[in-house]
Order: sequence, then C-alpha cells, then structure tokens
Amino acid sequence: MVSESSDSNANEQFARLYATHHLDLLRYVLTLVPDMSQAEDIVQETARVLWRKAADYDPDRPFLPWARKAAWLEVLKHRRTYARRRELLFSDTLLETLAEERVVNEDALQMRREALEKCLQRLDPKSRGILLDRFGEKRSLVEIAEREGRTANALYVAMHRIRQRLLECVRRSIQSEGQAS
Amino acid sequence: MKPETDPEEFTRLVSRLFDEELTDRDRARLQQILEADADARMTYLQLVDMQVKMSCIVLPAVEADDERETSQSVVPIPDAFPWRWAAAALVAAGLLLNALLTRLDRPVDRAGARPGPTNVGNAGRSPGPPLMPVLAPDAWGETFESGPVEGWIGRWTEDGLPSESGGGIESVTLTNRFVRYHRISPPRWNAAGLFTVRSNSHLRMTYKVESPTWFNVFLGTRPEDPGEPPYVLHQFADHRLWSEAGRWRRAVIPLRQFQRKVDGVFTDAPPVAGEAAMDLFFSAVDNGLALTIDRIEITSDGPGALELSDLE
Repeated sequence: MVSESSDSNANEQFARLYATHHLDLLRYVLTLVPDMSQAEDIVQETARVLWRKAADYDPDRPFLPWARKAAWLEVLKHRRTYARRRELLFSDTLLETLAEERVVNEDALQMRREALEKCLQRLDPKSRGILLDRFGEKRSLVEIAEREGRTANALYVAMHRIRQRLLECVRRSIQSEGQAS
Repeated sequence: MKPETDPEEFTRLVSRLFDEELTDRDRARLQQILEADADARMTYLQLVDMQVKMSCIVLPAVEADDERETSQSVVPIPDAFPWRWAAAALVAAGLLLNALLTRLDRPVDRAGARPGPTNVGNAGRSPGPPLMPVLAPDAWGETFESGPVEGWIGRWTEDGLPSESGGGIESVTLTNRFVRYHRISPPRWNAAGLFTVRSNSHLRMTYKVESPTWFNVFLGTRPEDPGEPPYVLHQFADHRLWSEAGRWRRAVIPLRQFQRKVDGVFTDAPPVAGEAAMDLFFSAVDNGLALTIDRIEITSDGPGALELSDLE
C-alpha cells in the first residue's frame, strides 16, 4: 500500500526533478539532433533510462549533468542507427563541440531565453498567427501555405524572417540591458 | 560572426533545418559554418532554444461543451502566447488540463467490434427505446479478456500484461483542432450512462505507466437537477498515480475525491450521488504518455481513500 514512506517521497522527488529539467534535456538533445520528432523520442528514451537508474542518483549532486550524460549516450545510440542510413548532420567532432558549448554557454543562453519570451509577445499579429498555426495546431508549412493560398516557399521565408526578427530583438534587448555577451 | 560567414545565409540554413527543408548541399554548408565559427554556433544554440520555445506554443484554451461542436472556425490570435508547460510546471501548477478538454475530432484508433462493456449490477437495459427512465447500474467494469471492445478509445493489447491476463487497453494519441493528447476512455452511453454515482463509489483499476508521465482521470456526469448544465466534468489529479512507473499497480480511488468543475474551475466539491456517469477517461496532453489498463471497474463500496499497491 502506498504511504508517506521514504520510498514514495524519493520517487516523487525524482519525478519532479525530471519534470523540472525536461526542457533542458530537450534543448540539449535538439542541439545535437536537430529534428524535433527524433529529439523528443531520444528524450523520452532518456527518461526511461533515468527512471530505471533512479536508485543510482545521488540527490546531493545536481540532476542535470547526470541526466545529460544519459541523454548523450542515447544520442550516440541514435547516431549509430542513422549512420547506417547516412542521415547524420554533424560530424563527431562538431557534435562534441556543440554539446560542450551548450553547457558552457548556459548562463548566456538563459539570459537570451528570458529576452526571447518578451520578444515573442511583441511579434506582429501576422507572425504570431503563423506560429500558432505551425506550432499550436502542429501544421506543416505546406499545409498552412495551402490553407492561405500561398506558396510553401513563401511560408519558409516567413519563418526565416520571424526567426531573424526574434534574434535581432533578443540582441537589442540584451544590449539595452547592458548585458553584452 | 566571422567576416566570411553571411549571417543571413546562416540563419536561413538553420531555419530550413528546423523546417525540414535542408538540401544535401545546405547540410554540408551548415556543417562547414558551424565547425569554423564559434559565434555561429552560439547563434545556432539560440535558434535551438527558440525552436523549443515555439514548440511549446498551444492554441488559446477553448473548451467545447460536450453536447455540441465548437462553433469557432477561426483561431483568435491571443494578446499573449499561451505556453505549454513542461511536466514539472503542470505538476506544480496543474494549469493546462482545464483548458484542453474538447470533443474528439479525429480519433486514430478505436477498439474492435465486440459489443459494449459488461454491466455488473442491478439495472437492466432494454434493446429498444426505454418505456420508462432507465437507471445506470451502480457497478460497471471491463476486463478486456475477450478481445477489443467496441467504442473504447484505446488500443487493445495482449502484450506485456500481468500474468494470466488475456487483454488490456493502451493509451492512444489523438489530435483535435487545438492539441495532441493521449487517451483511454470507454464508449459513452447517452441513454442511462455507464453507471450511477453513489456516495461510496470507487474506481478500481489495474494499470501501468511506462515512465513517470502525468495523467489525470476525468469523470463526466449528468446532474439530476435540471437547473444544472447537462454535463459536469470532474477531475482526479494525483501524482502518486504516475510517479511510480514501469510496473503493474492497483489503484482504488473514491469518486468523492474527484473535483467537480463549477463555473470553469475544479473545486473541492465531489460528484453528486445519484448522477449518471456519462464519461470516464484517462488523459494527458502530448507528453508521451504510455498508459495501459488491464482491468477497470466501478464499485459502490470501498475504503474511502486512495489506495495504491503493486501487483504481486
């Protein structure tokens, strides 16, 4: 029977820890495997591995580095599969560099994420509509283009412009707060 | 960035990468830039973060009455983006589920052709239109032992079940116009309902989640009071249901611990005895939930408190 036992508390704590860092892991994996669907699969598999090894986790140590190690191994496993299909994007060397720089630059990236949140709220209505369609309704750009009577290329260009505007907004925001990189 | 890196070209390449429009030539060029230019790598990391942030966007919450389709044909652009929270935020705040319960538009998996769940109890069913009001029984259940059951939302399975079990049901992933979500639910019986809620009704189930992924249990009832809406939703949200994963468990949940939705908010009020249960579903929003139920039943008695135990 469940009770307020130490085991139950430990499980709850572990579940909350994982949930707290879920997006950190997704960002880490997407850096290395820049396909959202594949990255989500890898993160899900990482979650299973972490859960199986929960007893090995030392709660006195930070959770994220431990979790990243597991994610890294899952990324490597994934690469072995996709190498056979010649679908790898990044070389082994670049992969290691990106993984390291993801961690090293975390503070600067966090600042930029906070600025991004505000920049997203300031997007023009048309751009927000595209993002809502693309990510809220999970539609492909081709589907959105068909619905709006535009070419697919026009939507790809629109997404590119949105990303550029957001990058520029983040850059200005960081500079104006006196927090140059 | 380095002088030889064109920022416009670089962001276009990464944009096409995330929009799945990268050619082989583009891939080689992107790799070349990233290897050579540290500033480009920093921009790439920012674009990764941007992609994750955008992937968390959800449409504005629109809750459709279960008796009618939503009449909205154009999604309004909100003043602020609503964000999907990671599982931790949902555990901490319990925010999103209130807003995402809508009719199913495109179920992708329905169980097979066997007629409906086994009714165990003290009320019969007429094959034709009832001449008198028919009460749903006090008890109800399904073991899935005889194969797929018609009308269930879920995927019947005989794999990975407790020993001596001949069938169970797995959650499936569905989409409606707003969101992707995971679900198991029995067929809705519009006449009398699945069962009648009693003061000491309990939900009992044998189930397993593959990983600690949250889900909630929902109960829809038809109030007896004609002054109330024709359908009232109740929610049972308890992390203990899913925080232990990877093994079979039994749960006994008193229905009076479900929270009744009043004026759009889940309150501490329980379901009312005498109401017909029209809906019972297990649901989570796009979090990769892998839930399997081996058996499920409603009884009119029980311990009066949540009980969870591992299957021996």
